[in-house]
Amino acid sequence: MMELVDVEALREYVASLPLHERWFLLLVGAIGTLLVLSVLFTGYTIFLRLRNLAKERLWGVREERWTQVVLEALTSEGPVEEVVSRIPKGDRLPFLDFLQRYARRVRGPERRRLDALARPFLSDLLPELANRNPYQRARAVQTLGMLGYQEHRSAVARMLDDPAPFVAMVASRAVLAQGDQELAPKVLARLERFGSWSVEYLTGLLSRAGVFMLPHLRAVMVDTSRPGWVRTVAVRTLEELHDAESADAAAAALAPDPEPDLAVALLRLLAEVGRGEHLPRVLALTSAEHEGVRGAAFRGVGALGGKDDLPLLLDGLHDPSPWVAIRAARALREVGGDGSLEAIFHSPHPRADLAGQVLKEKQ
Amino acid sequence: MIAGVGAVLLWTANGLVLAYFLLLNGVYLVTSFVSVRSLRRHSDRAKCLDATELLESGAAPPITVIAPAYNEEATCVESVRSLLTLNYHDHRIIVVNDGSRDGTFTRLVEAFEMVSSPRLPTASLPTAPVRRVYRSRWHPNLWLVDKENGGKADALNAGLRYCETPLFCAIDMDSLVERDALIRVVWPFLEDRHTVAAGGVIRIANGCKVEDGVVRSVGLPRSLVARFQVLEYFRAFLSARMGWEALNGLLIISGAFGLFRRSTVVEAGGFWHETVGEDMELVVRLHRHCRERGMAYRIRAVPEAVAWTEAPESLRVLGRQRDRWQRGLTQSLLRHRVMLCNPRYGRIGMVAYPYFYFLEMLGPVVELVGYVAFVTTVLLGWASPLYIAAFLMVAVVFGLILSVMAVALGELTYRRYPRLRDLLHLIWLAILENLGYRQLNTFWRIRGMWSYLHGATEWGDMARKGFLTSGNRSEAEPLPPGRQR
Repeated sequence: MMELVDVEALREYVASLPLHERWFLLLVGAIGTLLVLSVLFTGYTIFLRLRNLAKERLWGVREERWTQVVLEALTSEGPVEEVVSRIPKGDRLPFLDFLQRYARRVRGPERRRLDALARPFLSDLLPELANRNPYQRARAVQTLGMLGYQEHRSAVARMLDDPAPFVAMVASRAVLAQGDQELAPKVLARLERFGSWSVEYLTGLLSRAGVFMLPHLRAVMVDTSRPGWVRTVAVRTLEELHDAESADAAAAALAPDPEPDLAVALLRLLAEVGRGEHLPRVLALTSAEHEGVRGAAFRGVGALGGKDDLPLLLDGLHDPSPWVAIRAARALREVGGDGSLEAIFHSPHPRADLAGQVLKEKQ
Repeated sequence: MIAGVGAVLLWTANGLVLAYFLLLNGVYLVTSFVSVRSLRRHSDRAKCLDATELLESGAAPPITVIAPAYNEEATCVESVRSLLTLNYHDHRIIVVNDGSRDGTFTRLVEAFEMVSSPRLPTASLPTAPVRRVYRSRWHPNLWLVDKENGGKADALNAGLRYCETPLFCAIDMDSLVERDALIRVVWPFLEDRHTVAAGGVIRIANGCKVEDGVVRSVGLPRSLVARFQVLEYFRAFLSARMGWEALNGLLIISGAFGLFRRSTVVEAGGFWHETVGEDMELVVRLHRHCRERGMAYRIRAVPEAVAWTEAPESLRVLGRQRDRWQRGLTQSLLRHRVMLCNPRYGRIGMVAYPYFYFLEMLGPVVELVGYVAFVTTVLLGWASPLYIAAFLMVAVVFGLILSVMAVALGELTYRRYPRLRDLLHLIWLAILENLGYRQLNTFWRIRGMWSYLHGATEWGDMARKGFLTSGNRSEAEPLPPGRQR
């Protein structure tokens, strides 16, 4: 390069130019650089496209071949080793991705045969658990959790403490989906790590684990040392699992005026599994300051109360919050106040529309 | 003396314009690079998510889709059918007939056997009078709110008044939401409970083949005007919004497809009636609302959640659209100018807002001054090669590289234009758009600002041709195997 361009001579030439011409040269250089960059980006874009096309083509061929392989393995009685031997070494990890699609759809003996198909290749994934990219780790955990949980349980368990919360969440999902009686309580114990996730999502995950979680969830519900949102998740899961045994503890937990979200969850749980003796506590909260708590309390009255509560529920229709009024109207219907609702609907009552809405819901 | 002052003014204008172009394109370049990382991260995350599992577990909250309809007689039934088939475990649909003067109301009532059904509003947002609320006899999750005309924001507020779910999705009646879009756009709300809004990506449906409300195959539009918009949408959604999202400074979620937390939007006052850019105004207001109250919040963009829209194919209609967009932008930014360079609003006030204010809102004026100054300088024979080169660089070459980057970003998304020919055509358009189209856009945006200053509030007629179905074109190619949705 040095022989081709005499740098010293070039420097002298540039120094001899007037200032505006030096600026001009700089600009021309910048334009040239940008144009070269444009060409490079164009080339990169075309390269990406060609690579994507090649990938799609390859994937199409593989899909066709593997669909045959999988169907053969699922329908035949013999050992899967012969089928497994047909997967070249380089195709093993994509094959596992492919198997996951089927794994979501099949159950029983077919599912066991699918796991057997995946088994010889799963150990190839273990190094991925130490990958620096958290998403690669998460993917590996997901695959291990879905296709080889029993064999690789300890590896999945280790990932519950992965420094990336996303990876820990994928590991937790695998543990809970498998209903692992030993590890699932550990997920519950580590729930604080998932502080940013929505309560609904965590509830959905925990409720998949199974009823063996109930004692642990009950313990969290009454554990005042845990954050309110963690207790809320536990209570919502108990509601999801219809745990009748938690009713007394839920009523007791309502006594010291918990934070609103927890109170709402406890009232919802009582509405689901509570009994008549829990009604007084629920009734007391129909005048709570927080509209969510009042609404949940009216819902509880609907589930646990009776005709004696009609006056209270009729008062609830006038609540300034439409959410509370809706709960009160539905509760009115629950306790057999249809007649009152009909009368309101056909009157100039300010909540006539609401009465009509709730009556229609019944139909 | 006068000539001397003129020359100083001209050169000052030239200098300012060069600085403006450099700054604007520099920001674009930064957001484009940030977007590459962001899109890869989204793609990696998406591989670890199991939408089916999420649907089965019922762990995602119910969503109400609010679709305002005004004179949508031709397409409303098909659009609602498409919404009914969205892949989500619990979604309700509220169509708001905003005082249509055509047969929109009758067609909806007849097609879905809507019957009058009383319903209590859950929010006290002011709207034009609601005549009656209806519910479908066959689809219990489908509601129709019939009201007097009040504009799109008013119609959205009317829908919001009857929304009972924690999240609502605001869409345009004429956009096609992909079947899995709800499950994809809801994800930010699940993994971060502080998420208050999330926007999807809008793609252009002209040239795509649509069947039963679903885009079956992707193709470039025939019209050159629509093709330019493909490139613009790539830049807007893949380069800009993904970049700003990654920088925590997203100020726009398209009104064609966005998911919002109902309680936060109602607290913030719902959609603002007096703007034609209610989508941007709401997002800016959400930032302001949350920051002024010290609330933790996130506003996200989701590249995997896609809705398709029909782009204008005539310059006249496109001009009206751009005029409206600029008016909306100006109204929104001027309304909340207290946030401008105000450290109280964090990086929104100090970075995103100034960018939108000075470079996007005032940008067209600077560009126009730039073009005029450039031509004047050349005509007067004052333009040195240095100046011409500089102008060429900042106004054309920089734009070219950004457009090519946007096309490259398109390759990182999952519903690409399948033919290599289309890709090459997009790259060619990246060069071509600098020769007239960009300048035309500048003109429309200036006109938008002018209309704003003169108090124009109308939307302007947006003539639609309707989506391409198998019966009326065959330009589009089928998706490759495994990509059919």
